[in-house]
Amino acid sequence: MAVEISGLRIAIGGRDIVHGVDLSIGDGERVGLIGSSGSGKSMIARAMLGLLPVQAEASGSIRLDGTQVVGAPDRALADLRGRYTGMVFQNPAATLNPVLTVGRQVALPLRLHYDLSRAERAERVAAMLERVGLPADVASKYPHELSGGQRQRVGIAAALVTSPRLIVADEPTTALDSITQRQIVDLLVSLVDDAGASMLFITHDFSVLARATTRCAVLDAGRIVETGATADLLEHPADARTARLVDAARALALRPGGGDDGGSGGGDTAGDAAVEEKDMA
Amino acid sequence: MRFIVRRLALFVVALLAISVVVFAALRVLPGDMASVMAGLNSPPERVEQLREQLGLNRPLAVQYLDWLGALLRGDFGTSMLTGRSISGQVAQRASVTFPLIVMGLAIAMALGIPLGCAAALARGRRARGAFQLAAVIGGAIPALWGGLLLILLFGRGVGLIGVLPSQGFPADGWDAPGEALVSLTLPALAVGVIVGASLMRYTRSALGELASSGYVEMAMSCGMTRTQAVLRVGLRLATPQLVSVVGLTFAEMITGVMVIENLFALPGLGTGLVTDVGNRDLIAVQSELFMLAAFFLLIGLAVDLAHRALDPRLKTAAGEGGR
Repeated sequence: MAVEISGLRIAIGGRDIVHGVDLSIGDGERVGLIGSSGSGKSMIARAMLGLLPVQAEASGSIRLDGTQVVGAPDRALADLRGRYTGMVFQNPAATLNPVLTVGRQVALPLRLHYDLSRAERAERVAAMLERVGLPADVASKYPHELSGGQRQRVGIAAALVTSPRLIVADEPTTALDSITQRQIVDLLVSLVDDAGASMLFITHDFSVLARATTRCAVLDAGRIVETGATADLLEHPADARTARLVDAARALALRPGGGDDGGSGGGDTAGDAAVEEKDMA
Repeated sequence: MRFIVRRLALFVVALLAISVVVFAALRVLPGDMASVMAGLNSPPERVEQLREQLGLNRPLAVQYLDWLGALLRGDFGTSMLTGRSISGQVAQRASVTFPLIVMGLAIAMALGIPLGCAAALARGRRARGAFQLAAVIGGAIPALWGGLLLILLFGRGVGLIGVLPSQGFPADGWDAPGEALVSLTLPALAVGVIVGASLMRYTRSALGELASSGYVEMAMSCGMTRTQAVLRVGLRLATPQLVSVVGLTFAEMITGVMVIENLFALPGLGTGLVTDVGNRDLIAVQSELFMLAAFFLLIGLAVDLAHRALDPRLKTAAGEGGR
């Protein structure tokens, strides 16, 4: 799904949070949006899906495959959400419904958009849980019975179960430890690429961004200060604010034991989940 | 299962403690049954004689154990004044108060919960203000004044649209169900509007908090509209809180509806209790207080059980950790 954002402004309570942002995502492209806390990146993500808080006012234009999102009625946006778009949230502990089993949570987008029999739905959910590397019995568990990494896998499964065309991931790894972070990023990237979907990946951490995206935009205080290939920005940041974010990521990576030499990260997601399970027990 | 057993054990211990407190509190009260019965100007010998008759001269421990033993056999004693069985007396009063509370609560929930939802979902400043005003006004009406207003509007004989009875309860009680129901309508309305306003405020604040939570966002991202998400996910997640509020309100109302019972001349529990205290009918008062306290505890127990049924997080916490 192609995304075209132009002149996007967002204000909350009369105070401007985002000042005229332009950003485009090509069909099947993975784009990063990086910035420090409070730079307005989450607001842009929410505006794309019509999830802005009630007090927020957006103006400008956001087109998803040509469909205007800004100012569209909630009913129309709800028809897009969960069907053509999926969202992965920062903290699954505060977003997965605590009274729904994992199976019912993952089935929710299917239930809302497709007329499937119970058995068909269960089948799709089971297949999706397997793809995110979770054991089948997780379907009958509640979110609080899972580890942080497992919960985020559930969040990813719920976002991707309908094979949406656009994934918005809002700091999906921030609440996780560094090893799990890498697993989750790799899982998300491989699933998005398999589906041929586009992704907007939001983070404040350049080291995660390099794994997840090919191109990225740097946001500072509601304005985009630099855009380019993620690798280039990491090597030669042109803007001082970009350089600061890169330096921060380097400083983290150079910490003793925090090196990025693991290399094994990708691929065997089922194995990764098994490791997490051991951690739990 | 272990939780239920533990909770029941706690229930029994609490009941015993309450029986001691109730018994002791009434002995400390100045003036006893005998002096009230004998009258103000009667000679001390007469009072003494009455005390002897009523068993008030026995040691306190004996009196307490006597009463407790009877309680355990399900015998709440007989009124010192009327000689009628206290359980019968309470049952009769409860047959007025409980239907009144249930009707009042039903009206309160039918008003308060939908209005609370609407208030939480209201967008415009003006709409929010209107709901706020309604909640404040509804909550600020004194029960007495609200009841009087209803009588002036609808009370048979006095009201503008005088169609409903405003005094008393049919002598046949629930043997005349239509009449009984009609006689409780105005008092239940008076109670319902006031309790409904506070229920509206609770619903609005609980939902308002959840409306901006990640749970509602998540449901929206899966394809719900904001309204759907707030009503389906938010309301479901607020349910345990609302169950607590409704449970506590129910318990409070047993004595809380006393003013309304008085105004509408309904022979209910609150009114009866005050009469018995005035008469120093010790056995009746202590048995009634005990039953009230037991009922409070029962409601607490029911609320706890409902919470566990409604929130899967609580079940596992006790199952694994045994907190």
